[in-house]
Amino acid sequence: MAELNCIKDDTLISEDCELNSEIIKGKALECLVAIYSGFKTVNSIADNLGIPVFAVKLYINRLLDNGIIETEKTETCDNRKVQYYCVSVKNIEIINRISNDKNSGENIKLISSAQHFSVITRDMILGVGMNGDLPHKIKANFIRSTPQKMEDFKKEIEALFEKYEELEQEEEVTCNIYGLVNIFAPYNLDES
Amino acid sequence: MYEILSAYLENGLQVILHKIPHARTVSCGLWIKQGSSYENDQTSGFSHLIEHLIINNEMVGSTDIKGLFDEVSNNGVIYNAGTTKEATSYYFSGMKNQLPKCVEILSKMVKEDRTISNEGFELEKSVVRQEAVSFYSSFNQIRERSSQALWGNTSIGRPILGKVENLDTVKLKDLKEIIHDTYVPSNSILVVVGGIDYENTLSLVDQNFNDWHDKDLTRVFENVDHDAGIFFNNNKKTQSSVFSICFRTPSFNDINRVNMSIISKMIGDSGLTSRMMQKIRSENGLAYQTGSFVNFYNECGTFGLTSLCKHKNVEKIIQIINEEMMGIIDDGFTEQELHRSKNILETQTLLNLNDVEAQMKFIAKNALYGHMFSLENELRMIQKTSLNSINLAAVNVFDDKNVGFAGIGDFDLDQVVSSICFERR
Repeated sequence: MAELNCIKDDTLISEDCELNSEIIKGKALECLVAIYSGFKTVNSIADNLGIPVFAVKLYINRLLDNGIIETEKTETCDNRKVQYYCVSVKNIEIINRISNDKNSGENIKLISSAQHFSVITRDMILGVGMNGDLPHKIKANFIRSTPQKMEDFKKEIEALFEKYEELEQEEEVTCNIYGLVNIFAPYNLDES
Repeated sequence: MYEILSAYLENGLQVILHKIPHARTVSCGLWIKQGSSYENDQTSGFSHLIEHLIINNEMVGSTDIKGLFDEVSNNGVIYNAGTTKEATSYYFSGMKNQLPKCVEILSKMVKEDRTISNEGFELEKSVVRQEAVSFYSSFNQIRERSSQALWGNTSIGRPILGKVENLDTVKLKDLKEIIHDTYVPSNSILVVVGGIDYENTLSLVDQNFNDWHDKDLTRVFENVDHDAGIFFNNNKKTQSSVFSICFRTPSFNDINRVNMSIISKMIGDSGLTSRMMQKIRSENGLAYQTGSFVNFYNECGTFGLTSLCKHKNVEKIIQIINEEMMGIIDDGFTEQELHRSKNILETQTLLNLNDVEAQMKFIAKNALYGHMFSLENELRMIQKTSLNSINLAAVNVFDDKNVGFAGIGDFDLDQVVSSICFERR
């Protein structure tokens, strides 16, 4: 008697389809950020995040299956296939302005202490993957500057938020829901 | 003293003879270096199907092979065949006076352009399909799935039984093409073990195989994945889950092969003294079947820790294994564990080579990797192993870059993945 349902195909990861909406769970979002930041191979992402390579492969697989990333190229190194990944949606952009530092890459971490912010962000990135033809912009930019200049910039953000809120059209049936999530904050002060 | 004669015929066929004084039986076999790791997506599973056809006495050639098969069978000869990731073998065992006929059959099996009726071909495909479905419906597949996880759907990662769907489309001419390209003398090894005389046996082999013409070898070569990964099948209708925390290891010829074999005994030997049996079965009652395995190949190897358990126990067992592995990385094994495991491995090695057929297979396996087997040498390597080299091998292999995971069943994959980490504390 069969012990389990016959597994005829050789698909490496066959997950429950309900999991599709949860693809950014675990470290997948961190993997995505690492790819944005220029870590394109499983090995480099694993080094960057400090997690085993097999775990990175799981998250990469989910991002690939959902069209958020794609294989940019495959190279051979010591008789082994090395895949390079890139984001599929070109308008998603995270720029690391301090990447020229001697510690480039190692300090890039996504710190999201507010759980709901991370969930909202995750769902919005997922939304971009599924509705890439609708207006969107995801961008992260890390700079060095003075507190005074940043105080001035904060006022401009607040003004921009007010402008954004005025764009709401409750009566229009053809409208879609859009989100604007902003995190403007000191980053990695302890490590700088 | 352990005596082995190795020679090459002019056509490139390697011949290895091992005489066992006073033995009344003999085993002879032919190993072709063609297995699942030399296939691709379209031919995955064909090496195994070829094995079934070649050993099938309904496959007719220019001479009466079926008559020869019947003759040796009537005289008590037992024959069989096998496919691995790197080779396909055909072998006969019987009384030593049957050796000439057995060698003759072996030579005709590979030299003659044999064919089979459409009906016979469909029947054999049906048999192979049933074998594959049975295997892929069993928990035993976890070792093959570990290879898939570690190396990808390519080369050594390919399961030996291959893709079931390929059996629906395969044509006899596809198989004949592989036979033509790979069943050549310089890609083969003939081994004879038992109550033999070296000179007469070598002459017998030469008579039967010298007209097997050598050709250019055409073989598929695939690169493996650079990084170890995951095989996971969310199989909710099962009563239990099976999983393997697996590692990439050095190859068959690496000096750490014996170290890894001893480590496997210390961690997961089926006796109740190994660490996994103690922690998972005896102390916590979390699984009945739990243990370890090692497989070595030409370029690499696989080490796995497996458990078959209730779905809800998977996470707990993985936590225990991870904790044990971290303890090994940090503190190493004990002298007592090493002493016991070396003796277990030595005993098992001797028990496994207790008949001529087992000795032939082991000699052939060594020869496939360009290694001349000597029982004394193997036992010496086991006994000379030190705790220092064992602990060093463990640290090198049990690493975040080498680890993979294979699982079939119903459990939280994310939870499991986040629990496995071997970074040194």
